[in-house]
Amino acid sequence: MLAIRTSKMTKPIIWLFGMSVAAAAFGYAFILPGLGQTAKNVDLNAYSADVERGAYVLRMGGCVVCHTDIDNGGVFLAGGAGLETPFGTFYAPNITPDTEHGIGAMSLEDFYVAMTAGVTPDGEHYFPSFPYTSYGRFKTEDIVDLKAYLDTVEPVARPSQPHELIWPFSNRQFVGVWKSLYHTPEPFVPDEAESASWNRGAYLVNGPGHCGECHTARNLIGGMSANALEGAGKSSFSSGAPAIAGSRSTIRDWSLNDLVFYLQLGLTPDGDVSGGKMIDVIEHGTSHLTGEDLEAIATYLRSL
Amino acid sequence: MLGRFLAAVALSALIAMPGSHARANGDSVIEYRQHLMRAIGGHMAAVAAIVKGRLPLTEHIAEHAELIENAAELVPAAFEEQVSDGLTDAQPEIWSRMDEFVELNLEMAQASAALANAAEEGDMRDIAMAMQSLGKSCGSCHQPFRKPKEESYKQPR
Repeated sequence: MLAIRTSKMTKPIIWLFGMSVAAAAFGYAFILPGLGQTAKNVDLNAYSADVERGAYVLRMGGCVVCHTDIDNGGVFLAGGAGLETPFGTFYAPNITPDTEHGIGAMSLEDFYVAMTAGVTPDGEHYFPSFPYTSYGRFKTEDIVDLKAYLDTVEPVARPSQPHELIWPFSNRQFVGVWKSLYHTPEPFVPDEAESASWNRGAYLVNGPGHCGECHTARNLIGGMSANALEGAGKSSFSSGAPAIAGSRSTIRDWSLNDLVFYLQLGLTPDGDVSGGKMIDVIEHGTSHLTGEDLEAIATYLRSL
Repeated sequence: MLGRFLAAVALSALIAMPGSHARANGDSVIEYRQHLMRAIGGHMAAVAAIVKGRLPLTEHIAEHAELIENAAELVPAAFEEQVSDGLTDAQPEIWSRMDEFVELNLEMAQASAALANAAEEGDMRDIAMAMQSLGKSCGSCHQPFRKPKEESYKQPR
């Protein structure tokens, strides 16, 4: 109902209007990078990295889904297929430890800042197609483990494909404005009133799993609406991913078992199969998670 | 009396239909296709219920898998005639890329045969793997040829 319907002609005008309002409101000072948290207040060396756990964190984060060109048999983590959006096409880069084309030259601190603040080692903004808006909730130890694992992956000298974006969205400085509006990097805080499983689920869904990035509606400049996980609707600014929370949730009648089974095999209780990107999310992400973690995700989602 | 007369007329009209070479009514074609797909989905859901609920009906899985394979064989004929208007989620690409559609259908039949084999062997891990590949094969055809859920005719407009 609330989906924004606009003709192809009026869309760019609306974007420009939205962007200029945002720019006027926030001023150039906010455009400068470095607004997010840095690694300064976190002791990254307090944890001893566990490579095996890091391999699991990779699946928790669904990293493979975007950073590997799955449909075209691309090399593992050497860069993904395009993610088409109204702002243009984003290509997830090569994250193998190749020092030239991958992230081999990144220090642990660089990696931490990239994941949580969305800032490159050169101090530029990453586009929010890299979901630091969710990854900001990553636990520090998970980031340390993930980096340790990524360092062990076979390096691939494949150049990352540059994004193909429409002006003004191609300007990384605008991302600074965007971040001041939509990125509040704060670590995950457990709710003491809830069970350990619920809290684990909340962490996995809202942090590493970054479910809300697709399952939440977005506005004209790609900011997420307040109704997290309540579906993206049919608007061309949204992914079309269904509601998994709230009154229109498509999984409202699913049992805990149904959800776990779905996240393992991609089969719905009515005998249908998952569609769209979720097929890859399940195959390369959730199906690798432990039964305990999947039950945690299900427990949390069922509470919404 | 009049009621019985009308019933007889209606019945004779129905009986006369199959022999005729007239184009089938589009709505009926859609109705049949949807029930065929629902039958397959029903068997899938039944298998899923057995596995999920750890029901002592493992031997039923092979039977369901064979029924899916049999139903899969009916699919190409069900989609022979192009009917893509109306209350359907069938994409017109089915008919412009029929070879691909038929090939994917064949793969689905093979995946159901593989599930039947796994079920006869009885190893739950293998059964789960076979279900996963059968599910993937359903999805690999739905992806290009069925409208996504958010564009479904079932969505309120």
